Amino acid sequence: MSEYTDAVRFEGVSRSKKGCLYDVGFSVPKGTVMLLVGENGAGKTTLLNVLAGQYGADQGTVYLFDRPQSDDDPAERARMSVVFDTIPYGQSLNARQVGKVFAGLYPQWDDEAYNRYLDIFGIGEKQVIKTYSRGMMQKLQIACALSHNAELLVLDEPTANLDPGSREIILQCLMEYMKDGERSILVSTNMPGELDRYADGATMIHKGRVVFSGEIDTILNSYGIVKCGPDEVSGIDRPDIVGIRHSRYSAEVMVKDRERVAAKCPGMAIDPATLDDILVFTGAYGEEAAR
Amino acid sequence: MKKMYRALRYHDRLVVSRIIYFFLTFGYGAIFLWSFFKNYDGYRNLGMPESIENFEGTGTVLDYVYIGFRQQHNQWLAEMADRYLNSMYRFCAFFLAGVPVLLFTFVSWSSVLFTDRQQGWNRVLKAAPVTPKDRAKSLFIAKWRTIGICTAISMAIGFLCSRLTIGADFAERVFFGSIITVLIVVTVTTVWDILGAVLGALFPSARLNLTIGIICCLTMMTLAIPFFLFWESAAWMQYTSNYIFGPGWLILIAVFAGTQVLAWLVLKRACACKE
Repeated sequence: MSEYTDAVRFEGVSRSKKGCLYDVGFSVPKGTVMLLVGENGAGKTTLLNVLAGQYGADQGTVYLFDRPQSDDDPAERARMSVVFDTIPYGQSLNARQVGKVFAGLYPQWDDEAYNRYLDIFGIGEKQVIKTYSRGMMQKLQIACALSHNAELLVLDEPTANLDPGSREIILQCLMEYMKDGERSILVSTNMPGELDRYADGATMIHKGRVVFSGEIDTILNSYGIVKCGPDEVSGIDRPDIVGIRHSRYSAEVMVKDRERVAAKCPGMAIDPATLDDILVFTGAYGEEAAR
Repeated sequence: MKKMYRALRYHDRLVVSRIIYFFLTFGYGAIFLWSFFKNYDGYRNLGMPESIENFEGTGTVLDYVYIGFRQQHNQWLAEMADRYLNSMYRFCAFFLAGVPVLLFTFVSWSSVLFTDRQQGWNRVLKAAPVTPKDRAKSLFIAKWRTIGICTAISMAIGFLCSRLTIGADFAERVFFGSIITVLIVVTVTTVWDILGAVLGALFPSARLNLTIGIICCLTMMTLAIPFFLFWESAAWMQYTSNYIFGPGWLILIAVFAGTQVLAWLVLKRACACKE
């Protein structure tokens, strides 16, 4: 493993075509798990596709292992593995044949590890991909991604189609993969509650822009939900408000800096927020706060 | 050219026009064979008998079929064999010579599906430690491997079947005829691939793309009619075995090679572009 600070760093990445991105900038430090959260259509998959070399960016630079990403550097690509949102392998192949394709592509392919993951995930070697369930397709992609000794794992909603048992097995495998502290994971999800206990950091994207990026504990310590009467909402500074959920006799207000709000409005009860709460308030109730 | 890669993604939306293309290719195969048989009088000299008494045979499997029928005690079968012998030979000749064309049409179609399947793998390849040039090379080689294997098999079947049933002279003609067919079909398919890529880049709207694709396809195929008729009227089949390196062949091989080079350049650029 070579020396570098950030496994991935996005600097001012913008894209105006399908799946817009605006000045996206954040990094995934070496040895960490970074969640990329956001509602559907926020730009998560687009950003991961830029990182995976599928899409181009109009502006900005993507750094891989502290070096600008280049299409002509196969060695750099070999250090990264990608799990796409849909399975990109030929549907008429089976797991064994897919393994052979990967063995030809990746110099550090580990056939033993691949077989082990197939066993763990319960995937038959001879079963043809088109007969797989969606969850099995996802598992096969993860087995491939984990089997070539990559330093950076990029996963696009890996647990979206999995049952709780399979999800737990995969998360355990990912934790095992992270054991030596030299590897990093960037994983997108719109259900951060499933993954946040395994992650070190989180980056939220909303409408193609980064809302926040940092350590999960810091973020969760900062955000909070104020529970107050409908007429008390006006007492909170607008820039602090992320979203407002109204009910008949009360309101819940998501705030970015709960300490500051607490200091300004001493009588109000402020509960800690989860990443799921932040996603809900930003996606579903953010428009009203912006008005 | 920057949008070329997108074109490859739009490629799959052209499937409907591909289906039309498939039938047109199939139709042209039939026209090709019909024009071939219209002028080909070889079957008349294959020893067609008036009856079993003066039957000399062609020295092929069909002789046994015929004799088998004639030796039946069933009068009706014997009469049918006499009456339809000529038609039977002609039908077998047509069918067997059609094998390479039919198979190759199928190959042409399956190579399209193969390309579509490559779209998925392309995502893996783009994320893998492979340079764009190597990616293009792998796609090009993979496609040609498929075409090559299937062509060889279909030509071998066509040759063997016609050799066994109609005779050596006919088999030779089928063999050279199928080489020409393969060259023409691959050239047309490749031109279509290139057109599809360029059209996809110029007209991202799927419906517009489809309409233009169909118009181009029909135009291209309409232009091909005089081409086939010209070749047929020149009785090219009569000369193929004697003039293998004649000007017609050279022009055909040059056009074929030119389209392949162009296809390679387009593919190389397309692989280097990002969506």
